Amino acid sequence: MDRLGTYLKKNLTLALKAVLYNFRQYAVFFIAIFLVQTLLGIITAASDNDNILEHGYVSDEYDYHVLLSDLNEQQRLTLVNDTQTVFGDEYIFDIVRETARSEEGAYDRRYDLYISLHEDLDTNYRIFEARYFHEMAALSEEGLRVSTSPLMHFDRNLRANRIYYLIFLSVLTVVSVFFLMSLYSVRLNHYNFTYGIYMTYGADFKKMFGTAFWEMFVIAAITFIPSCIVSAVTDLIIYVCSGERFTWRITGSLKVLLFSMVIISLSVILPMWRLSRREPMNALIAEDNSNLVISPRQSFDLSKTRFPSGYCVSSLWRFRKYQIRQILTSVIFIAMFMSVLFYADVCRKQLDYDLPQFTANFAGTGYTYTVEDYEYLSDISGITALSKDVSTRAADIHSHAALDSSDVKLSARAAYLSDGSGDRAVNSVSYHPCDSEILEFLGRYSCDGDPGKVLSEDVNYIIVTDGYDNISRFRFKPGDVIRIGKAVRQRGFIGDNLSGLELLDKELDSYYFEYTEFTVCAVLKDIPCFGGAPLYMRTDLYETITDSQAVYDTVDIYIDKDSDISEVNRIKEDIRKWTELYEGVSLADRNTASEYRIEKAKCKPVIYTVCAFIALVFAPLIQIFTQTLYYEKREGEFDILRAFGAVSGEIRSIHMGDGIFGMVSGVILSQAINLGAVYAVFYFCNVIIPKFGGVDIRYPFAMPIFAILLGIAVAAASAMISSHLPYRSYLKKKREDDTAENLTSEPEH
Amino acid sequence: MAILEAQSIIKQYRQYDTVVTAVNRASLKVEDGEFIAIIGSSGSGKSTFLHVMAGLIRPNYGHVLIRNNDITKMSPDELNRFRGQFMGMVFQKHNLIPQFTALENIMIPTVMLNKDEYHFEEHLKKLITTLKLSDRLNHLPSELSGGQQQRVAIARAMINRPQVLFADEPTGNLDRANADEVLDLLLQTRELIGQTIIMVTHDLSIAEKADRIFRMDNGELRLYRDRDGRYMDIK
Ligand SMILES: Nc1ncnc2c1ncn2[C@@H]1O[C@H](COP(=O)(O)OP(=O)(O)OP(=O)(O)O)[C@@H](O)[C@H]1O
Ligand SMILES: [Mg+2]
Repeated sequence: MDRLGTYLKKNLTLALKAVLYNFRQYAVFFIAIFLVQTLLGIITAASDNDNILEHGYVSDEYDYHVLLSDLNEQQRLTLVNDTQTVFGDEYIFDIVRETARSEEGAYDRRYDLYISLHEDLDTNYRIFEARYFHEMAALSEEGLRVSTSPLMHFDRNLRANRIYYLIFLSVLTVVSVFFLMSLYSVRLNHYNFTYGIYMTYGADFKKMFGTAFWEMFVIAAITFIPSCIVSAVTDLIIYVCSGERFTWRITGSLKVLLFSMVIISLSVILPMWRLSRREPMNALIAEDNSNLVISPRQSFDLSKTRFPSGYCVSSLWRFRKYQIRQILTSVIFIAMFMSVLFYADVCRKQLDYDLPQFTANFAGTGYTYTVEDYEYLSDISGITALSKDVSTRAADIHSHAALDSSDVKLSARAAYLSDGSGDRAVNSVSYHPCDSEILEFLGRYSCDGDPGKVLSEDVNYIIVTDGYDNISRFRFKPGDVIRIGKAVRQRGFIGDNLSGLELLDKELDSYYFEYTEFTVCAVLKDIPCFGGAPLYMRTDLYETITDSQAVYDTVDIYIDKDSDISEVNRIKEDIRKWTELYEGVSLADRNTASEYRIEKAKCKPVIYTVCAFIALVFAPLIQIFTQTLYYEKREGEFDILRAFGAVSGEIRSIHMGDGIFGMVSGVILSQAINLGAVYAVFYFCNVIIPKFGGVDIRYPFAMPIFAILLGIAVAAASAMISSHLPYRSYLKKKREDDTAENLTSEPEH
Repeated sequence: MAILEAQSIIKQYRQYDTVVTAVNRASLKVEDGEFIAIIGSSGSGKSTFLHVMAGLIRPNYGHVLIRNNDITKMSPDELNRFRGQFMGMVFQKHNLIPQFTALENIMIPTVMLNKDEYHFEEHLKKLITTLKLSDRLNHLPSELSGGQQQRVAIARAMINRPQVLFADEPTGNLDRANADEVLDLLLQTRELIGQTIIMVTHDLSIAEKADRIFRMDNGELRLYRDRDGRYMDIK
């Protein structure tokens, strides 16, 4: 213990001295680690606060864990009687509330029981289930309808939040490690020679890593408190401005401290390891930038190059690998900015996206959802939309859509039709019947053309979607003609286990098709379309093509997202009056309004936007640091040029030439990388998330113009500044040298 | 017992399409406490050979044994630690760290050794007086003359009292009187701790003080003068 104490004290004092005495050298690490910790702090404090907020909302809005609905008298009594016989610790629940429906005394009187479970929810839920569910289900033909409230799921939500936080933290760790590691490698490259000397006189990896780690540790310790304050204040402002409470927790800061330690160790370990594997001599001779010059080497015929322009080009070529690497490293952070900004926008759109609050299910009751129901429900105040839907996937009925080849983008999976029309066949579509009710609901999506025509009796019109799997893949315009092929007779064998394009190819060979021609009347642009492009047609056409009845088993009920819980419950009661008209129709509450309130409280879009802007600062920081050290080592070269007659204007041109090169290539590279990075996020949100069961939402692939311009401006500015600043500092040094010479020579006069 | 044994060392530098054979099958066996001088024309491979023996670069072929430890087989870390403990190095180019003062440069090896019980104050005092550095300790290398820089580098190589001292033209920048004094210092420490010295030099009058003299020619090493003062025939 004592030895540990002295060990720490010795290392910390040494590191503290090194860092403070060479503050200029380490300044960039102070800024970098401060930014990384601030990012960590913002994310961590926000995640902690989100959990507190979520708990607050959920316990405000719900007082029960389990809802047993539509119980008959016998079922009800099973529970009620049990609450009256108290037997010690087996007493695991309370009945919070009970609502009865239909007339008192009526023979089919039904009850809803709201149950609150005691502490240790999961265990008690299991006991509750084992004790009553089976018994009660046996007492009614319909069985038992159980649903649980968000209060029950709160633990699960917390776990989900934690996973979400961990994912974000991992991304952040990777980004920060990459950032700090790049900075540290630049630093090591600059002090190659010094480390070569250390190695010559006995330094091993442990020693060098130790020194580096303690130095970074000291910096992290110094920036820790300020970063805590800045991140807490940032979060405070964000939450308070959107009308939420912000609670700060010390444990969050400890997490930040811990993680910043992990991050700095990771970012120092690799560059140091690589350095320690080198031959000391190899490190020693690289005291200038000569290690940045790459093979194969070719001597320039300098006598033929023009000075300074040609000279500048030849230096750029000499250091081409370095130049590309430093521009790339800096530009990656601009891409980071773009993609996080894009993700923030995705979060915003997700929040705005309407999801149904209730779903009524007719399945197995013998009833279906009809126009009368629509009229009944539409009259309930607070209901904003109703959505019924039924569909048939083309691939499931050996069908396909034949499209003009000019309508098919490269990204679409399409087969070639061999009927000589040159058309392409696509089976990633699904057929939907359409009536005025559905048409009304489709009105929420943006579209080209006139969707109303689809109901026309004389012409076969169709509403199409411009893509599937939430990515645009077709070039439909209103007026295009498409044909839908219905398999009428099999003429060949078709194997099992085929899907997608393979299936389609096989089907085209193995069936005769009968085609129905449609004219596109409207193109939907942003309708979610994971799994297949929805095509809407008149109900009778749908039924002919799919050989099935357009029967609606379920209806999704939308309400105003801002409705408070009492409003939601009021609407729910009104809907229940309707479901009672049919025996057996069930109503599922998806708690959408509460979830919306909770999600909105989390302020994700703003927090991610702030993070994006912090990541954007990384770009110029790293470029300026890299270039400063690079030019510092070229000062000897400039001295020699001056000694042989170059004037400072010409030295300046060399810097500016580099700057212009950096600017042009930075802007081009950054646009290319931005596109890739944003597309990756876009693909993740549009395709991967629905694939794994997340909400199917189609986000547009677009960046706000201000972000693109900002990205360009930062790429350009940081290239120019990073080559101009070193020139200024060189000039200043030379001036100081001149004055120093004048001073010493003065007494001779 | 041989303290150092270099066995048929080959070191080649490859660059795109040209190959430079800097050291070509050089072998050398050095007894404990011996003073070896290596002479030879410029570019003949003396420095390269010295660096290979000190483990600062790895040979393409051959082994270097120091006290029967094959340093060519050591991991980089082992090798660096081993060198820090047993070997001292004076470079041809002084190789001082420009941001460090003369004193700090001298002290680097002691920091790397990291042993609290290690006492070097006496030794340090003696080194700096002999090397005439007492009033220059707080200067940066750029504020020192070429000869002074060289003397700082020598002090740095000797501060840990290494068993084997490799010196690449340590007296190259010094005048006659200073060169002799530095040599005396080296020989004194050699007496004191039984140090082995392997020195590359152009200065024949210094080489003459060595036990044996070797000569490097185009990367090949030959004995030039043996222990008994006999000169070999070299074509
Ligand atoms: N890092 C290197 N890469 C390529 N070639 C090298 C390298 N170091 C040395 N050489 C070549 O190896 C040969 C021997 O070099 P070395 O420095 O050993 O000569 P030397 O005998 O010490 O010369 P001097 O007396 O001038 O110091 C030279 O031809 C040199 O060009
Ligand atoms: Mg040499």
